[in-house]
Amino acid sequence: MTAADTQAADPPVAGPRDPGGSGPRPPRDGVRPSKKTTGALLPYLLIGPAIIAIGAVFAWPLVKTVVMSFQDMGRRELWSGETPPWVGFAQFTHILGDSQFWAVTFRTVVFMVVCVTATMAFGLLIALLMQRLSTWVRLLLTGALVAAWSMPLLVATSIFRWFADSDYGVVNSLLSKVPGVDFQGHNWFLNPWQGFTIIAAVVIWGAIPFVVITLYAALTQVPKELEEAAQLDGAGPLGVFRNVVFPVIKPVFQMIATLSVIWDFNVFGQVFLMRGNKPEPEYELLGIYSFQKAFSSSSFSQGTAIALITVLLLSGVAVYYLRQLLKTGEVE
Amino acid sequence: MKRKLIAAIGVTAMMAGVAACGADSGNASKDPKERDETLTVWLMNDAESTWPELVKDVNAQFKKKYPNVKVKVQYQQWGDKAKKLDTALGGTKFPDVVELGNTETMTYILNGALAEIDPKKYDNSDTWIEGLKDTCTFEGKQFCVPYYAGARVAILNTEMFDKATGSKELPQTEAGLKKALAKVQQKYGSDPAFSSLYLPGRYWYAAMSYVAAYGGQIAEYDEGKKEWKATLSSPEAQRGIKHFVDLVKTYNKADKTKDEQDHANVMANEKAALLYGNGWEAGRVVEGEEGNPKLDGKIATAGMPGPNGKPLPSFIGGSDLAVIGKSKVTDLGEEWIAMFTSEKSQEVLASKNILPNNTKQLEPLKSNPETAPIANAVPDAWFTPIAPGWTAVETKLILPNMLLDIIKGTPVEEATKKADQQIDDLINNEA
Repeated sequence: MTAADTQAADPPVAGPRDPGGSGPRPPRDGVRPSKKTTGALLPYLLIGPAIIAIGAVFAWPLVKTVVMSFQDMGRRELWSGETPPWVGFAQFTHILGDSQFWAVTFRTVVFMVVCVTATMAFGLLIALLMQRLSTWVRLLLTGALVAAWSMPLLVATSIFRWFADSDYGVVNSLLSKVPGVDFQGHNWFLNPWQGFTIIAAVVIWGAIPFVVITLYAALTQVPKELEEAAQLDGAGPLGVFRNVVFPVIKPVFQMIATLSVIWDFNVFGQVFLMRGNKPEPEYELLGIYSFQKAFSSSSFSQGTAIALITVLLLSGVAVYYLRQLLKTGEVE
Repeated sequence: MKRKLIAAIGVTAMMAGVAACGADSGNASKDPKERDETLTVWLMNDAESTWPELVKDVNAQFKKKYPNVKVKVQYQQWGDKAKKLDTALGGTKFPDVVELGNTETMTYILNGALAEIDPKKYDNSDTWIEGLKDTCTFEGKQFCVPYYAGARVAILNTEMFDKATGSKELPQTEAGLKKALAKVQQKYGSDPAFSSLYLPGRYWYAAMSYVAAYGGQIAEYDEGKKEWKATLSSPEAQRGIKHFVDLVKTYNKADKTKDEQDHANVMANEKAALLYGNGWEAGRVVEGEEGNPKLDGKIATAGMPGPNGKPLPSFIGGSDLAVIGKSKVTDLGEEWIAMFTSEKSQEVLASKNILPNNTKQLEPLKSNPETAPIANAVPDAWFTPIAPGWTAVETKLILPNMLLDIIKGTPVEEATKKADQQIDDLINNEA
């Protein structure tokens, strides 16, 4: 997780220099340390195996996906190994002209925005809370967060599914305990809005730990003196946060938010499992839609074409993320 | 959170697996003792949960004849087996023998995935149950072997019926049944989640049984046009669906929008006195992971009364076994299936109240009180359209979603018209 190791940028306001002395000085012009030329190849050698592994795992399927989406691959071609007929952009025009595709895309975007907003908001609040906790409570909370983080998606989703079960679920039992409320037998998945609330809860619950821990690490970089100075100048807590704290953690915050956008845009497992491996049409997000197109209608090319469109939709976000990454790297 | 880009990419990655299978030395003329290939068999998890000893015995018998052949039995789940099989067939690691639900076979036959089999090699092939044999036949050739049949029956908690109505028997007319259910509901209805009859709204096999009871059909074949046409919006089918939905709304006190997955669970928790399910589900109520041993001896099966004073026509379910055409060891696959569906093997199934694949062994079950209800349900059973695109209709969940819409309040006429359209779009497509 890169975001966790990146250091925050220097505070924009000139703070007192830390007494430990500054970092390594830039070499004087003309005089180059000889180490640099001998070890120039070493980093590439070290990173080589990882690059090759990533290439094998990502590049090859990506090439396959691109090739397949310009063909018409059905069951027969898949099983017999014949080369499917080339159809050019037919799959793409078909999908882009399908109103269902746009409905699904819109739903995916709304779901993503809600999940990311909630994740970042709760994450930030909990991270701020952690700063004010006593050490052992903070450790306890960190432990709980890590436990939640390490829970496999399958397990977490199954448990939330049981929470929300209409006949045996905890949610309905608890709500029915409130006088005058009867939720026994209420099915949360009949209305997609309610169903997506449950699904979003799993997604947000699973995403918060990473956000909290990373943001907490960023918050430790905020110089205490600055906060005090701002308070002396008459800034309220909100003012301190807006003008002092947030500018320091902003690069990290943006990066996590970007990552969350990418993750929440591609939510698949939570929906699939929540709906008992048979998601109804109104529960289709882009990933599910692509999967259903490929396997229920066994038009594999349509599935891959939708997947490619998803990648293109996300590539803008990915580029932004990479720029963030490079920027924070430059600050070092 | 998994950073899985897209399911499709994962799948393509799977297909890119470059694991070659064993050496191609498969040679049917070799001495059985010298054969050393691997035979991979995909069975459904029913075999694992309900007749594991049969699988073990057949493998031992197979090992006697072919001591060096490795038989790998892998158990699959109904929910995702079709998708798994579709992708496996695209790669190099596919099963040699596979169990297919009898509504699934046609797609695989039409796409040339299955090897032709010779019925003469199998016990009782002359009396195979028609409803299963038909699903394996295309243009007069056989592509799979009937494995077992299933019919749906009423499963009841005799103790509850006895305490509420004074009789352990299930009334055999619908009017009588409704009277009895009212008494049961009165006695146990203090629990708001208790249903005298637990009939889930998305249970399309039950809904279509009522359609069949009124003489309706899901789809009809038009000989002139040579194509299938959905007929759910016909007056008969609509009447059947209405009848089913009324029952759901009247008797199901739990969540009405579920499908039949929770059957055994609901009954094991004593939240239902009557179900309409597969014969073997009665066993699951008492035994197994979900079972409640306290109900031992209190669960019985009976014929389900239907509309118009007749028994409710059941869907004839069941499974077939097929050899994959690309397999290098088709002869071994055929032999394994022959042992697995032999008369002796079928006896094991019959002892567990599962219907055998042939009428010769089915007859005695009709006189056995335990199995009579299921065995008698076979003759006037109905079946899904044997159409090229039927699998797609099932995987797209068109029928359960239609029922769900009706339960939610869409008028039957509107919902059935919409379903007909969706079915027509898919049912004639081969791919």
